[in-house]
Amino acid sequence: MIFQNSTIDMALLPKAEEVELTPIEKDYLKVMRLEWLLISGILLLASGFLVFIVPPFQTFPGYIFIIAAFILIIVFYYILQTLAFKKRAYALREKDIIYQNGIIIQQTSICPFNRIQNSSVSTGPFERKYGLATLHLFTAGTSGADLHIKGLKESDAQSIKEWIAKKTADEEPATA
Amino acid sequence: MKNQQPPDWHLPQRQSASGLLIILYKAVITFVKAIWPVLVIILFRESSNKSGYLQVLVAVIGIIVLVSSLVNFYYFRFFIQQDDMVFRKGLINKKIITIPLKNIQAVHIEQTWMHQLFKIARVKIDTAGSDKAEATIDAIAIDKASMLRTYLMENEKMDSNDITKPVVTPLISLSIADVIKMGLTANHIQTFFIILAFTMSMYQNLEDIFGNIINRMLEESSSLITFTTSVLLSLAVFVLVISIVVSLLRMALLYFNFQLSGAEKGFRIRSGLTSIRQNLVPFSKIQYISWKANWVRRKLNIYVLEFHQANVEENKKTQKALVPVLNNVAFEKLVAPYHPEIFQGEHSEHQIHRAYALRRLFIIGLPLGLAFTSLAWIFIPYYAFSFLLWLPIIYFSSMVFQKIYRLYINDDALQIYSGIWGREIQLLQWYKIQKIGLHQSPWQRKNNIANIVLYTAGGHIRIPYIDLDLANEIKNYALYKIESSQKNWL
Repeated sequence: MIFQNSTIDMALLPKAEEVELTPIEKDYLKVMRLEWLLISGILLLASGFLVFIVPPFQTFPGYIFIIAAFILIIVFYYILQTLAFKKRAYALREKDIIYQNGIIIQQTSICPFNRIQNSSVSTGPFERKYGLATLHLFTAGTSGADLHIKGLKESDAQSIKEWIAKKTADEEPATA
Repeated sequence: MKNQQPPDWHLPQRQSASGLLIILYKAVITFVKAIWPVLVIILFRESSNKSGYLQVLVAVIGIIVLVSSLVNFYYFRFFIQQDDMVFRKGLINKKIITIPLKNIQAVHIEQTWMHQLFKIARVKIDTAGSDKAEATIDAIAIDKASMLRTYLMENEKMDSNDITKPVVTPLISLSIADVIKMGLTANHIQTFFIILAFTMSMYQNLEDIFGNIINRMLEESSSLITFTTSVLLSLAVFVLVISIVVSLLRMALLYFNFQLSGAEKGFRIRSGLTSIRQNLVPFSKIQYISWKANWVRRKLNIYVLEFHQANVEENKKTQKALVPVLNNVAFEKLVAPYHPEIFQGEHSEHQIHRAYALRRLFIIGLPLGLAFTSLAWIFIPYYAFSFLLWLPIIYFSSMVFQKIYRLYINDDALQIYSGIWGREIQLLQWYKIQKIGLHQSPWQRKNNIANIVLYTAGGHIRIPYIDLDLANEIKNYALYKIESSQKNWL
């Protein structure tokens, strides 16, 4: 044991790292692709405008540069999305929620229910198309202490939200 | 001492009439700050014909600012309605702010020199919410202010009402010698950069107005001086003296007349040279404590302690509860109400991984070093390689950081001891944590190392490069403490 002086047995504590995480909904990748299409479209318009107002980009080496930059950015963004999608997973435990994400740096965030101040569920237009939603959990912590879980089924997000609300309400008499 | 009857707070109250002067003063200051370059142009370029338009423009803006601040003053009301404190503002843009009394965390009373002159004060109401900047009464008679505070603190169940009671024991009061000591031991390099930044922005502003005149003047005067060693030396001494003087002034502004007293449920801090600030720190609001010293102060055993409170925005310097500590006796009394230092009882001790220095060199040292060097190569090829000195600096400072870093853990709290030249110590109780993050880069995953981030309502604490097993145990133990704790973190 590393904590020598602990009055409780560390081995008996629940281990958050052994919990099996649920990946986010597969349909969320489609939402990400739609976002990719939208961003690529906007970028295409922007580069078109750039070519239009900057004459050097209209001649030979210039437009090659623009096209290459455009393709590089959208391909890179596409790969980034795929990786990000694969890394996102979550798990609910009796007293806290675990969320994992991060493309290169893997980040595991754990938020105990009795520290959640309020929660909400939001749906964007692309998410609504596939019946998905984002769950927002807010703690009293300063920057970076909130949790946003994208790509949940809307019904799941709602029921998790209600479950947490019930849990925090149960805790209330103890802390008051 | 006159025993005045407290006003009925349920009736809408206006700000103090003498406060009008302060509000006008504030309006003039904001006005001048916003358009001073234009004002300078008007003053110095009278010959130009266009300045007539400018003067009209300035006058119009001035009148708008003046009228709007008068209107704001006239239509401002505050009162208590049932269980809420209500502010009503504005004529055209009406605004009603309602703050539930039970959400009021603290009531601050502040006095600038103008307030002191008219025996009035500014009252700031600190809430658990975020838009607390709105809950400010700019001018209210000083005795009314303290009655309002008493009323507000009596009406809520918060523990903090005890701090307002007069039974307080002074723990720290700084003498002028102490303030001078703080000034002399301040970080003069930091001060120098502040002055530099200030001078640069002033120079830029002046250049915008006067064009090249300043540049030419500087060039002419500098060509008169030949840069001998003695000139350079006296220039260095001049810069040093200026830095020290400004450091002294900064410390005087912060800590002049500094007094900290303790009551049953919190600390009361009072300080200020030109304006008196009062800051209440209820024990329950303290999320974690840190204390810092630069290299010189460490040698003299002078620390600046900070109470990281809930809901105080991290970057707002004025609201920070900073306490200069010049002796050990007072120090223990400051920390003890939160949690005594961990060395004193049973604890376990941990270090960060030895690979830290090499990884820092690899991740931060190399990319930046190469970027600087190649950039320098374009402009000053002969000196470019001196930028490679960055590499050993990063490596050795990281090595020292790793050697000194210690993490102490006991059942209720953890304490971090760190620093390269100076020292910083952080003390955090487990149950104050809001969220836990465990971060791993691919390299760290391969080598079973992790970074831990502990988020609290007063800021976050990062523990880099510890063994994954230890990180997991910290995480699981912290969760256990948070989830089983009956104590309220606020």
